[in-house]
Amino acid sequence: VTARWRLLYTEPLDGIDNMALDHALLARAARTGESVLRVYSWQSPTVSFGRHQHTAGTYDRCRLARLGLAAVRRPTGGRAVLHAREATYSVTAPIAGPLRATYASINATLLAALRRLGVDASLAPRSRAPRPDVSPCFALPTEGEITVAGRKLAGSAQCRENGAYLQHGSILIEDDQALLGRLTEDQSLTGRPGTAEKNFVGAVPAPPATLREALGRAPSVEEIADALFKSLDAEASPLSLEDTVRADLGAFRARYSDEHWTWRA
Amino acid sequence: MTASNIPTDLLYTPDHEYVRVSADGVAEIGITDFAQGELGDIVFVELPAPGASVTAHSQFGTVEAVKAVSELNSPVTGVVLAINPRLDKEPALINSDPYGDGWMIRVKLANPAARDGLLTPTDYAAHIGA
Repeated sequence: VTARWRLLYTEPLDGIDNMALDHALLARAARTGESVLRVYSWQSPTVSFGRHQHTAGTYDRCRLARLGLAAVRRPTGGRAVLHAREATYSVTAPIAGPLRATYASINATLLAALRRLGVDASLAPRSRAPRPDVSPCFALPTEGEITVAGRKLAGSAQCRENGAYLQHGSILIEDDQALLGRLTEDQSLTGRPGTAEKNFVGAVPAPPATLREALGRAPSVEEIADALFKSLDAEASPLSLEDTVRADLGAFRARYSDEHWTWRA
Repeated sequence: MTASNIPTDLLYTPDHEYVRVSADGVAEIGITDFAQGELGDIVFVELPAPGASVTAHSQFGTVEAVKAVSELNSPVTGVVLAINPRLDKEPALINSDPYGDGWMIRVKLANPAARDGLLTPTDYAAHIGA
């Protein structure tokens, strides 16, 4: 059975609305059996934490505020990402196979889109799954993720509920990730240059790859969205948000704007 | 893919949790061999505190595999008596021994006879296409 696919491009939103919309689309996938590929960006620089990361007492809220950064907790696993100059994608779809197969299928679309843009990207080799600790997401390429010359260009994470999954991820246009190293209470934990990466003591992680570096120019989010939509190996039509999705958005906004959700110890 | 182990003395949910009900009205809950195989390396588990109530077919926790978070749904209604203390440091026990050392919570059943919505081993095997 070929899944039906819909395409959605949204203008820049804040972190709460971006997470609420991804979650409303996850509920839509469980309800309708349709898959959606969404491409989006962020109104202002926002740190997103993984679902299981400790944030209160680990990340310095005052420093975030001083740097003008917003914060949100994702429904998905993995580690912290600073969303600034990037294109973000989400896929929401019915679960049709093992986790590794889902990642592989979406990564194939990402890889095809990047090649369409002219980036010689590849997939990271098999490795251990990362624990949701304080190391930044882009410090470590995980199995199957998109790399350029061994450095991570796109980081992705997933959540699964009610027979559907949400996978979202960031494709870096420019590297703003170093800022994450200045946001923790204990600077020795974040594994930026000059410190020891927690899981790989002694190793200094390479900075992530970027589209700017790979292409010698910074493509727009619209251009990246167009490449992604053209690289989807399925029939697809544009999606306009139904009333049910808009109604769900309200409930999910409440979750993602809740301080206790974002800043738990 | 290797065939999933489906012990015949357990009951199952469509969401891939199992429940082992003992004669004293206590249920041991975890996720199935099929579920751990679908997820891969499990790196983190979030479980309720002892004393918390759980409700059949409602969420009681979450599990994180390769940067993927899945909800855990309780097969039964009752009060949590114990959580597996080893899973905090050794979540991979869920991969290596899902029905033994990888158990998640023990629940005192509100109604020891209730089996609503639970699948027999045969039904669960059909559900996962085994």
